[in-house]
Amino acid sequence: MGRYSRIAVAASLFLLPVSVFAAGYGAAGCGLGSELMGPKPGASQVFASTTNSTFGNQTFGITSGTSNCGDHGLISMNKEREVFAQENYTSLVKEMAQGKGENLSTLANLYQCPAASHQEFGAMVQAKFDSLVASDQANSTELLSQLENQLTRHPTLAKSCDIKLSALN
Amino acid sequence: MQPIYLVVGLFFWFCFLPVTAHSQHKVTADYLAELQQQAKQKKLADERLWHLLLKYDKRLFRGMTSEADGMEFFNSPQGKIDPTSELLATLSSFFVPLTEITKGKEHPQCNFPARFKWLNQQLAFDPNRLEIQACDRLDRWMKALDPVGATLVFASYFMDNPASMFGHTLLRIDSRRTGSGNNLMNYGANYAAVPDTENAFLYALKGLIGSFPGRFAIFPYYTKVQEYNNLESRDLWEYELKFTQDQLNMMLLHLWELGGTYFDYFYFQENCSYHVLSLLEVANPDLRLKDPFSFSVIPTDTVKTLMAQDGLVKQVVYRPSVLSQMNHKRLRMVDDEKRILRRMVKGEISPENPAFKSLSAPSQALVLNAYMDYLQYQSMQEKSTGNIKIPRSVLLARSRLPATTNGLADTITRFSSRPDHGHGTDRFRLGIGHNAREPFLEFAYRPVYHDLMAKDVGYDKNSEIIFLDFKLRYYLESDRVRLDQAKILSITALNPYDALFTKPSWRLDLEVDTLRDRNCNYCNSVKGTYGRGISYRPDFFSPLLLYSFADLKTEFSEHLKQKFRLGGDAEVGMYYDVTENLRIKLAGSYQIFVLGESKRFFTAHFITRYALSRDLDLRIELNRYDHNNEGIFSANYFF
Repeated sequence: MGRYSRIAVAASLFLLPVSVFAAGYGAAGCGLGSELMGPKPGASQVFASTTNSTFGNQTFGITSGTSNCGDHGLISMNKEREVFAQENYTSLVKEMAQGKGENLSTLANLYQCPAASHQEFGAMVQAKFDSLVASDQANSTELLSQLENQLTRHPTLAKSCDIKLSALN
Repeated sequence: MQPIYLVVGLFFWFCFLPVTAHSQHKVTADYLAELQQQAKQKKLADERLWHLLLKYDKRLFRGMTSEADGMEFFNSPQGKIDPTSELLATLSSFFVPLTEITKGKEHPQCNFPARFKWLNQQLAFDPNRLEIQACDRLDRWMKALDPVGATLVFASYFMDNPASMFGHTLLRIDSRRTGSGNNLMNYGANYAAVPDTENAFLYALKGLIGSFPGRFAIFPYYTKVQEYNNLESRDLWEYELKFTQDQLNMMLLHLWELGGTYFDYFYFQENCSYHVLSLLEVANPDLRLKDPFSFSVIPTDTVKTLMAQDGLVKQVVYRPSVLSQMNHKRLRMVDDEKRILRRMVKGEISPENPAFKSLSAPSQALVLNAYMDYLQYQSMQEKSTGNIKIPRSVLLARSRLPATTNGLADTITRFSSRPDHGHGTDRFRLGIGHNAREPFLEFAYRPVYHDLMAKDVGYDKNSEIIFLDFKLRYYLESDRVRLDQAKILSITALNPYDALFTKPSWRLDLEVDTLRDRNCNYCNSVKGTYGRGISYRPDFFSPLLLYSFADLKTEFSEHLKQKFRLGGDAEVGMYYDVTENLRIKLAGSYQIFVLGESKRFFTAHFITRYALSRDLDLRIELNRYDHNNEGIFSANYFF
């Protein structure tokens, strides 16, 4: 190995830490890139960050390729619960097991449950956790349908919350 | 019907229609000319808001130029460089009949609603002579967002990614529809580069010279919370801002205009924080937020600028990352609970284990809460896309315990400090020192960012980033000025050892330095260092930080035999905060160079810093390199 190749090896060592960063995913932060929820680990692909390039028909921001977004580039009202539950699934089940939390009360709001009933909502999901998350493979869609089941049967929440989606539209 | 009427009718129809069409056309043309005339008289093209809306900026040698780089942003072909021609063309575009708009495209009135709104305010369009278009998609967009407030969100430093080392800012649009206490459901407007390379070097270079396009995008805020708080575990600071309804509407209409264009992204200048400030200026043109920035727009500085505006910031809210939430729980644990948590993390015991079961119910809940935070964070780091991130058995065990862990109100421990409370990012240094031979004066300046001897309020307390730090020395007896040091880039990330996470510390340094271990008349070398190490802090808020590093090192200089040396060093050191303002550093290293000019020697450093205020500190440094000693007293001013 000649002297210069040794130098080259030494020089290349300095580049290592930088390439280690880049290996992860498309970055986030001030700048150099933010492909939100794109190729990141553990993130779903509900939102693609690219804007529609045809300007006249620009859909601002979140465009989709999914049926979750309206043509105005925001989430369709009737998909809000679904998308929220999917994107925050882990946070949600954690807070359900704990019986309280910000994601949980956001979900309660999405079911139009008044703030006064949130504590009851939390207590209910904690008590019924067993059936809300039926297995390790359970997903957000099942979670919501189980939740709606439980809400319908609940003596007070059934009345104070709006379970049917149509109530939103 | 009498044929005569039909004939007369046809006659009138034939000759009348062209006349109406013609006169309508003429009315339109006349009115357009009239408006353009008025706009010229009123000098609207020179107005600050017009410049803000079109992103015009005075450029050296180029005159007025728009920062926008997507040409669809302009109605005039000269729009990028000519505010007047753009304004006249914009007025003209408002008159385009709807029938001439291609299907699927928006009318210019709907594409540029902020410009339309402002010009309408200035010129009071006559709806009889200018057809006002209905903008269905825009209306629904505005209705869905229904702004009631705006919040600047600062995502704290993320040392594992060069793009995030200085933090990040985005704007949350607080909606009337979601209501208060429901912030996750609001939308966030984010400006970011769209990179086209995975190569780290190109990535950094392109970011610096502006060859990535930057775009605005809008996401539900919860996706940003998931990304920053949970995936990257960064604390968020939310600055709730005060704007009137009209200002908020204007800002959103402008945001709509920006959705379709792009800007060349400059990492240090036209970055996320810069463009967020632009949005706020459009909302309220009296705010002069971008003016103080010249060389670089660092996210923390923009937060300080906001705080400096009278009454602009209503409230500051801390949103802890998932690991901060976990550490908050760990701080409240007794030793037994900590031990059980550690064993769970290692996979030694499950919630079914008698050791765990022997804890009281509130203790079990506390341990499981922290354990679930840990699992959530860990699972997000993995590339698997399985649905369940926390095993059901753990969740179920937790669900059988009471909701609240104790009766105390949970005041959240802050693991980062408010970014607006930190020192300025520019630093000027004036020093006086002495080496074995003679006294010297020291002058240094660097534009960014933070060093480990500076006060760490508002910064990551375990890391430093120094960029373009130039230090000159004037040697009094030999009457010479020498470049003592020029740090091109120097990063140190000390990740204190944590029983639950083992993350190595690392550092990286590229600089022109003086060969201090030799007597070569202050000769310079070009030096590169990369090292890894271990650091230790007894607990999160301990004043003591110990570290050790093993580095690879190379130096190039005319004054070295074979012009270079390659080797490494081992260093140990400590930082200790005697008081809030007094910090001491002790460090020693053993340097070994084996290739090129070989040499072995010791270095030793003692540094002490006393902070007089947020932006001013005094330091004494005693350094020894091989047999050469020096002492420096310096004042460091941050701005």
